[in-house]
Parts: sequence; structure tokens; C-alpha cells
Amino acid sequence: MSSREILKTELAKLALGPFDSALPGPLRLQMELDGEVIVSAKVETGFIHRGLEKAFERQRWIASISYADRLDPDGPIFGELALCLAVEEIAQLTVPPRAEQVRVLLSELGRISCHMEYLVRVARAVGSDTMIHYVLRDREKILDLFELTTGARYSINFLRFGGIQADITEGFIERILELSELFRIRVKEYNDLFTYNHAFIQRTQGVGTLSSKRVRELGVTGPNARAAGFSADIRKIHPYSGYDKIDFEVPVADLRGLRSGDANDRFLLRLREIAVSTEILRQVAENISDGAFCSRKQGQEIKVPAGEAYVRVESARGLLGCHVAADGGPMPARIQFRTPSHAHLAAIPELLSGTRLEDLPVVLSSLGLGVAEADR
Amino acid sequence: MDKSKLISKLEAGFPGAVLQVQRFGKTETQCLWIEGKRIREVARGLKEDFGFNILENLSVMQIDDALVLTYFLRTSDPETGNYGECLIVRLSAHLKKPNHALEVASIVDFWATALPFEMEAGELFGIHFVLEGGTKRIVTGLRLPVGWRGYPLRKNYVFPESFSGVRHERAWIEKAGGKK
Repeated sequence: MSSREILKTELAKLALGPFDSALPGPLRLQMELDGEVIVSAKVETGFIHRGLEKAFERQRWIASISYADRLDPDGPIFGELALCLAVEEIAQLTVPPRAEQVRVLLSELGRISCHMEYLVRVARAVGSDTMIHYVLRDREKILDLFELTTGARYSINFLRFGGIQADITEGFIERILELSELFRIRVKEYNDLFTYNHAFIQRTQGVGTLSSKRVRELGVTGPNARAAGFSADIRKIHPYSGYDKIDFEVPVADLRGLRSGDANDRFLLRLREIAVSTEILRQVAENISDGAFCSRKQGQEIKVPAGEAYVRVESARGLLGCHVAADGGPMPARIQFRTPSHAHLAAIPELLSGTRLEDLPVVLSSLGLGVAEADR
Repeated sequence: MDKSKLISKLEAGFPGAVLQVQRFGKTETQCLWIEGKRIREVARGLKEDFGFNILENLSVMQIDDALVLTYFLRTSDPETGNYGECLIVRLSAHLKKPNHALEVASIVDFWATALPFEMEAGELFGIHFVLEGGTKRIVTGLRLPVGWRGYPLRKNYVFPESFSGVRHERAWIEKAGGKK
């Protein structure tokens, strides 16, 4: 009778990144593997640090908006909006109703665009080329709308302290209404392609589960927290830019189910958020006010009195905080951002621990990380 | 809880720790200036006795020759995650020498979310956060390239003429009215 031979093996080490197609941006993963199972993972960031917060202190107030725009390339509107709200609070500037509504329209377009970028990343992780093509085709329509109104497809640099840079162009509202109608159909298509797709469910269900307890401890916010059952959304808790006048529901994953907070839930929640944003677009576009688009003269230097403010907006990735301090001078004394991706990065090691290597791209893409905004 | 009750309870619980109470900016949010050395005991009390279970943000800025650390705290509903009360706690640490690092007690044991903020502030502002037991966390290479000298977010920071053989051209900034 032969005795069983036990092969003694050591854990393998694998370093991934900073540039790899499996990663959501420039970061490095130092992993230990037991066969194909990840035993531990360490995240290194900072590869895309641009010194944004220092750059703010070296520019005049008016120029700081274009820097805030670069906070997150996938959702430039949110950095701009947070900064403008904070400065408007310090300088006690009013924003005309029309400008508030355009800000909401651009925010929701930005949210849908960012979520579509997310769908593409997840589709790439599970190997669905069809989905990538469908989503990118539709996202172009949003970028067209940005271009129509702001002149730029990315880095729109369109908000100003006290309003927006220019009034909306002719045909913008009509195209928003067309887009919201189109997206109602498209969300159904995406559902057919993914939500009820057996192969997709197998690749994402039970993968990268983030419990509600850990969500709270790690400070995870936004769609990732709502996929774990939390309903917190700044647009509802502390409404800004007139969100309190809009009738919408915040989608939350159903905690009564057997599972919650996995990659599948995070994906489905974003699909539901696209549908909600579409509805917000329709409501705002149908009720757009007439009147001024900015309370200040364009191009005029702003004098921000000494003071400080901390505002929060609901970006596509979660809670985006902006702390602004002014000393009465021509440049900001300090602008600091609290970005949602900070917390999402902190969740990676425990999400990867115990995960099979083949699921790594699914886990990472399902978090919707913005490495640029975390590194700043 | 009523804010004035909270403050009187804190003052009673930690005599001398609360140096000043003021409004934050133009909001009604209370901002407590506390003694820097007692941040850990105040943090423990705020979390365990007053239910501030969320550290939402930690922002650092330099005012004259002191670094001011601002902790944005919140209560939160454990079921829905909805935010409740907000409290801002502040401390200032005097910079004895402009280019030297200073030490501040870490609060990571109470709020795990503090870690990335402390790491970043540690490197960019030159703060060595002291953990329980006295170990100092000295961060390098997180945001800045290895070998970079100085703390860029301090007001007196002067950019190097070159780094790693690459010359920095900054004439356009001065032309635009920016500070060197």
C-alpha cells in the first residue's frame, strides 16, 4: 500500500501593477497566493498623485475650479460643484434657480456617464464585449451633450462661483428629454444582457462581499454602501442645488435577501441609479426656469472673505467632501477633498483575501474606484 | 443630544481639555478646540459615550506657525447608515522649527477611517502620528517619490530647482502671480 505524499509548498508572491488591465487605475497590489487563492493583499497607491491640493494654493480663486475639475476625470462636475458650493457659502453668494437646475442636469449626466464607465469596466472583467460596445455607444450621447453645452467632452470646467459659465445652448433641454426616454429603453437592454444573464450571475454573485458592518467601519459610501443595505445619500440627507424639490427614490439593495453587498449587488445598484438619474433629468428638464445663469459678471475676479466651509455632495462614487479655508487673499488658503475612493481602496485587502485570482478583476472593477481622486 | 449639554458633559468629563467652543464658518455646527495632548481621551469619549461613530474627514492646514488638525465627526444610524449629528473637533500643534516634523497622537484605534488621512497628512505636512504604546508612524513614498525632501503642503515649502535630474520650470507660475 502506498502512503500519500504531501508536497510542502510555500506561498507564492505576486506583484501586480502599477499598470495592468486588471486594475482600475495606477496602483500596485502585492499579493500572497496559495495556489490560485489570494491569501493576503497589500495596496500601494500614489502613482498618479498630482499635488492638486498644493496647486490650489498657488492659483487665483477663479482658476481653482479648473483644478477641482481634474479631481476625478470620470466625474469632473462633482469636484467643481463641491468647490463652488463651499466658496459660495463663505462669500454668501446666491445662485440663480436656472443655474441650480443646470448644475443638477450636469451632475446627473455625470453620474450616468460615470456609472456607464463602471459598466464597461465590469463588462471587460467578465469578458462581455457586447456590453462594452453597447454601453460605449450610449455614453457617447452623454459626452455629446456635455460638448453641446460646455464645449468639452471631458474636464468641462463649466461651473462658476455664483452660477455657471454660460447659458445652456439651444436644443439642450430637448436632447435631455430625448436622452432620458432613450435610457429608459437602454436600461432594460442592459438588464437583458446582464441582470438575467446566467454566466454574468455566476461570475459576480458571492464575489467580493462587503458586509454592512465593514461598510460602516471603513467609511464606504455611495453605491457601494447602498449595495450593502445602507440608504445614506447626501442628495436626500442634506439636499443641495435644489435636490429637495425633485421627487426621486434612492435605490438600496434588499437586505432581506440571502446575500448582500457582493459584486453583483454593486453592479445592479448602479443600473438602478442610472434609471433614477434618468428620471431626475426628465423632471428637471421639464421644469427648467427662465432667468439669469450666474449672479456675478463673467470673468470678474472674486473676492472671497476670510472664513471657511465644509460641504458635501453625492458624487457618482459616494460622499465627496470639500473643506475650503480663505484668508481674504487672492488665492485659497487651503482646499482639501475627502474622496469616496479613499475608503474603497481601504476595503480592497479584505475583499481580496480568500478570493480566487480569476475573480480579482471582477472584485476591483465592481468597487468603482477612482484612483485619480484618491491620489489627487 | 443637545449640543450645549454635550459640551458641558465633555467639559465635566475631561476638565481643561476643551479650550474653546465656536461656530464652524457660517453654519450652526459646533467646533471644539481641544488640547492636542488629550486628543485620544477626548476621541474615546466622543466615540464610546457620545456615539460619534463616524470620522468622515480629517483635514490639516497651516495657520501661521501652527498646523491645525480638523476632525469632522458624525453620528450614524447603524441600520440605514443615515447621518445624524455633526461635530467638529480641532487641535493645533505648534511648529517649533519650520522644516521639522511634529508629533500628534493617532486616533486610528477609535476610527479606522482615520488611517488614510493620517498617512497622507504624515507625509505631506510632516506629522508623525504616535500610536498607542508610543510607536511613531513615519510615512514616506506614499504620495511623494522616494528621496523627495520637505513637506509640500506647508506654507513655507519651496519647490526644489530639480529632482532626480529633471529641472522644474516654474517661471509661468510667478508670471501669473503665484507664489514661488
